[in-house]
Amino acid sequence: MAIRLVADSTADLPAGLVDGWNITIVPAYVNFSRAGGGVETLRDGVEIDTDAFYKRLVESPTLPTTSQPSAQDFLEVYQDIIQKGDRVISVHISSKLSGTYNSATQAKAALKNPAAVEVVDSASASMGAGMTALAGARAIASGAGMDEALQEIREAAARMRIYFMVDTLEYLQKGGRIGKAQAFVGSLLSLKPILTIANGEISPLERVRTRRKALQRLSRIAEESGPISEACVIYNTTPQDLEPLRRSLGASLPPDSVITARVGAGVGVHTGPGVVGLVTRSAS
Amino acid sequence: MNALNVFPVPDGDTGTNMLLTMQSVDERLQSVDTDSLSKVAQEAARGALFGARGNSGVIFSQFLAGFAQALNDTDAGGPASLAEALASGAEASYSAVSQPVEGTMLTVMREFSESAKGLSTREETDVIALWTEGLRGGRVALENTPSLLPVLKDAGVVDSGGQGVLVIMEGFLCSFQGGDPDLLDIEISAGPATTAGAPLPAVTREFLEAAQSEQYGFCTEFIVEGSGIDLAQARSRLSAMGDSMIVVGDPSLVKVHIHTFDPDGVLAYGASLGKTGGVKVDDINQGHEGFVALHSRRPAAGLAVVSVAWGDGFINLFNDLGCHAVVPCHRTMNPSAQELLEAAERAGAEDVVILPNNSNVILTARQACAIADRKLRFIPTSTLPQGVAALLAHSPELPPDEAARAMESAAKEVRTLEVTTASRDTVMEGVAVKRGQVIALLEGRLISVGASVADVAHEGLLKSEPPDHGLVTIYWGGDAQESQALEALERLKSALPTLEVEAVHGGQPFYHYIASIE
Repeated sequence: MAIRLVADSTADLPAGLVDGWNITIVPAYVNFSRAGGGVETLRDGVEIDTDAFYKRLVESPTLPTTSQPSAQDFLEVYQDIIQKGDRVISVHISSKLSGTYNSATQAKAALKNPAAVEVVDSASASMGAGMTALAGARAIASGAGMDEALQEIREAAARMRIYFMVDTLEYLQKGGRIGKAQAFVGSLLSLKPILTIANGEISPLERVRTRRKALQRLSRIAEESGPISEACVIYNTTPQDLEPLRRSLGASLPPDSVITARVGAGVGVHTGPGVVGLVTRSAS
Repeated sequence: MNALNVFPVPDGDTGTNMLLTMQSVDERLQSVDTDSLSKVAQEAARGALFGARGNSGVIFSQFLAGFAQALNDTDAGGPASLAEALASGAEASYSAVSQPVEGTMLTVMREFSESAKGLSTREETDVIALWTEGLRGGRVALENTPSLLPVLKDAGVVDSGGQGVLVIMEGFLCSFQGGDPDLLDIEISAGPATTAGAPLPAVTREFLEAAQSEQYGFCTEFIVEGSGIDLAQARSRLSAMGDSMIVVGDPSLVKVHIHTFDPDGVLAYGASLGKTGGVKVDDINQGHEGFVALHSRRPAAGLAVVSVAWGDGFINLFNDLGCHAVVPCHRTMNPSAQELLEAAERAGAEDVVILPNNSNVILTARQACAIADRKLRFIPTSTLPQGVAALLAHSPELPPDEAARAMESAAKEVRTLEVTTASRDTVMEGVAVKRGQVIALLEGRLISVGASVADVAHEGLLKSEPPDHGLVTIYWGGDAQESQALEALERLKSALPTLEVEAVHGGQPFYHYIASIE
């Protein structure tokens, strides 16, 4: 009786890691309004790839929206695994940012044997959730039982930090995901907010003028982040911005151990293009 | 007195600031019912402390504080005790500034008190003789201010604050003599010839109008409750209907403050947006109250920020960037210590920091902190761009001390360039400036003079040497248009391609551009 790790597409886990650690991804939905009326709904990462999504995000006259996977989507995934006699740990984006965790717990409740599924709120997003899920997948692969794997996931979630900059707060504001960063919305176009996720919510960290300074600030955060055991850089449209950040993180980690992940449609709708950030797991 | 400004642009004027400081003294004394000399002096000092506006107002309030202190427990006094009080006042006023400069109102107050003291030892003297002698000495000192202070000589004026002190002292004398102050004929000292040999600057009607034209009409305030109110559209519609407009809020609740000739038209427009309430219409000509529109926000957890700002664009910007209260500054007059204290109160936090954003408000901010019965601090920002930088560096999540330190160091990272038109002839840093010429000042120092705003701004920006990959923000106001600001930035960027640039509506009077270089 094995344990299977389930995550959702907003975790932004790179395909290599998903395959390598045998993780099941449940896709969120991206909705574009059609020119003549109606809505085109596409499964994130399945029916629309990331490049195509950002192209449409910029070109679309109206802002696309996202929907969480339905409880039915989760139910099908869970039942499929349970039928094989396995159990599930399902790790998801902060319940304060998305209804995904809710859908998953509804699916769990609808099972004949709800105890076969454990649903965890990562209290983070993108690779903040992704690396937490990954920690669980690694524990499972090394033979951990249910309790042990859950404990590792909760510990990883508690130690995960995410810092990111957005080019504009417009997308977060329109999508209603702005949280405590509301006060950062201003009339200055060159304002580049640096944000974090605290207690499951988007929280403002600093306001920097110009993108260049914001990137430098992220590098400094990386350098000052203290002892870390794992790190990841995230982006969506500007891979050229990552090298300095990777170098700053690499100073305290073995070379090539810094993961690079691309923010997909589910999170990208709310951040807009030009996101750069880092995720670290503090060692103590 | 406003015309005696060494700076050829009317803003933060000494005459207006001192007048309003004394009005505050007068109001305080109206409610005092005692003949005790010490009580009256103390109440006068308190009125001045809270009502102090501008550096001249703050310094004079310290003079009155020192004056009152020396008269402590003196219910009645004659020439000797008054002479002592004058000396104590002069001494206290010196301590109001960190680096006292001779040739200013400090010198005039000191000479006044020394002359009076010289007479007080004579047996036959009386208060009128004492004051007359003080005035004589004060006048000599005032005439001498240009030889002590080169900027006065350059501008061809005597010190305006010193002149203000003498006007107030003349008022005292008139009162001692039982005269009618309305009939007082006060001679305003003419300055010497400027160093460039230019003729005395005439206090022309035109200049007086430019310096003294208060915004007139009706100060109109109201709140609109509605849904989906477009703030940008409301701002653009209202700005055509008046002056000093402030529109803040969100799509469901908007607060409007505007000076207009047509309050009915403004209110009708407000009613078209939603349900209006809290309507207040004051005739601005009837006094100065009513123009201070303070916008309060929800109480802050950590350090709350109170900002002084002027220009509708700047006021909206400071609000948008999360200031807990913005104290709008009038064209030619600075906020009083009392107004800063009230704004701090409205900010609703335990720990409040003031951003004065004007070199003539820094002393007032310091005074407000000194007399506050709450935790209040200030960061000595002397320009609006420094204030913006400080505000952006504010992290409400940080402990207040740490947040304030971050704000203070961010303010130092910014340099300010101002582009304006000289309203009269003067000499600045040895360069003759003619009325109507455009001047650019970097951190208050003249760096470019010329005929066109575009060329002077460009030369000024280049001479400011913005760093590689730096950021230049132009806040446009005065007579400038957004398109001109964008053109100026375009031109700058073609000369310095690594720069990032941004044009923002400042709406400040007199200054075509205020630019931040960082």
